[in-house]
Amino acid sequence: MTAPRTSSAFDTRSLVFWVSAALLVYGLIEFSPIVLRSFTGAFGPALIAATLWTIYTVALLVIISRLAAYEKRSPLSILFAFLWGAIVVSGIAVVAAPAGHTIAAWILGGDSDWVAAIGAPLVEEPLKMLGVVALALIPGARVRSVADGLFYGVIVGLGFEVFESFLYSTQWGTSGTEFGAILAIFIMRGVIGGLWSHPTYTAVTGAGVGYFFSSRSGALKRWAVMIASLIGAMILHGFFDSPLLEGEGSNPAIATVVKGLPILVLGLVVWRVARRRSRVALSAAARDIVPDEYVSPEDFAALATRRSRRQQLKAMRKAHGRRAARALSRVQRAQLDALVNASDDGIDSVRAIKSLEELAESRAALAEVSS
Amino acid sequence: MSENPSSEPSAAGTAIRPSLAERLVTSSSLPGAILVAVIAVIFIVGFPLFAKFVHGGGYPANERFEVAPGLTVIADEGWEYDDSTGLFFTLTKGGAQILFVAPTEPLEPLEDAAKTASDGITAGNGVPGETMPFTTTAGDGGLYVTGRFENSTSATWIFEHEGLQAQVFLNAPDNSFEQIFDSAEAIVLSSEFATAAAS
Repeated sequence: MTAPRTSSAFDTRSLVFWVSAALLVYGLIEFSPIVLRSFTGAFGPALIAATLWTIYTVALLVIISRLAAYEKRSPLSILFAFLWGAIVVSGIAVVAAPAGHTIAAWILGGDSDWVAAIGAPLVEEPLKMLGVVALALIPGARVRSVADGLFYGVIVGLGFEVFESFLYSTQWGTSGTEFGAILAIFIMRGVIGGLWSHPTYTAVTGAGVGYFFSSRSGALKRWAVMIASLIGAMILHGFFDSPLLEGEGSNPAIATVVKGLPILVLGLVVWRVARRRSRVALSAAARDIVPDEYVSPEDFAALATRRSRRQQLKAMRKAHGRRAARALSRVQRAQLDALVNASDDGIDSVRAIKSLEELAESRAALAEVSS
Repeated sequence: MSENPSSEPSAAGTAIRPSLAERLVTSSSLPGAILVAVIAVIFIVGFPLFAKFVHGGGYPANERFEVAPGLTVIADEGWEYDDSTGLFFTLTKGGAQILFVAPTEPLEPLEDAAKTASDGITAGNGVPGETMPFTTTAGDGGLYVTGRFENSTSATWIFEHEGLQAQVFLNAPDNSFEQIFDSAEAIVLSSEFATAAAS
């Protein structure tokens, strides 16, 4: 097995990287004047909105990273995905979104309530998906599973959602946005709508892209899954933006929750499927690739779920104290890294060897504190 | 992580075809780069061109025309007449609609009319922005208020000239409001009451 030449998506020898960089510059050119106008129009409110959405981003990144416990992905690849959603998609959408709405209005009629529900997904979902495809085309990003595609899809979606919401919070800069309005938008788009918005849609397409690149099935099946994931995400997005349950007398918060719950449920189903595939793959790595002295199939069985890992830590804390529990946590992380790196790059790869060395060190440290 | 941790031959001795992710490690990045670039260009160039094609000619920009009895404006690029709303003269662009109400004697003072518009946004489950003053290029003063709804944004301009009050409403999808607002505002600022044009 040949290992990729870089440890992240920042591979300067990849033409995909440079095309992505060019699109990032294009996005900045299109997008910066709008952001700048938000700040020059009403600096204070724009700063408040920027602070709120930055805190939101950091909080969600921490939660998402914790949910992706099997694998510690490269921060540079995560940054690539976030910038794609925030800058590339937002920048291209500056010209493509009005066109998408015009096309939707042409199809549905200009006075149709469904123009936004059709026009937005038509442009935004393929562009966000393209970010995961670009990552998958750079071997260093290691999009090698459905879970990898899903993870980067969530990050691309988060980047887009945060920048779009920041703009919505401040685009009244010229009309003097008030703090109350900024907070209302934050609650509406971040808290109430955040769970089933762009990160969930792009999680679905990302999973499809992950399947396309990682599966050994025939081309027809892989294409079918990837295209179905895109259509699925567009339908979810359109359903959420649809005028259903809206109108006079309706409660927007209730309507958002009622429309959002099926989307969240579907997103969770895709996440569980991705997790199960990863578990099967790591189990195979423990059985076939990594020597049992490092990680045996029995070891992985104890590592397989967050619950089982926590139970081990709890038992260790009870028996030997907090230091021993921390040392065991390091061993668990090293075992997972060894499995992931050996299955990605091969057992003889630099990354896998480093993981095995770290595992040996962490085991020695654990033996010292728990003896 | 790889979902295909072993690329060794199968038990039956037949070589297992590696996944695309595995094959990409040793292959050229050129086809992938072309694919990403082409799809991006489709959205940057192809979509707007197709939209222009289906949108038709639209109103000629920089020409003054009547949008309601006693009110004329100059159209901006890309706006098209929409006859679907019936009662009011309406222009559309990128899924947005701008609708003109003919000047009449005011039912309420300017400030109260703006307050009514703001209250209307709240009643429609929207979040109103602060009411702001503006002046048309013809020198007529007015107030405008924007509103944020779940998936759209609105703006209402109310302005007066010699005892007559006119109103213009804009409704735009969220993700095209930034581009539409400037264009709609240019149209509103070009408004002239017929009495002003005659004088």
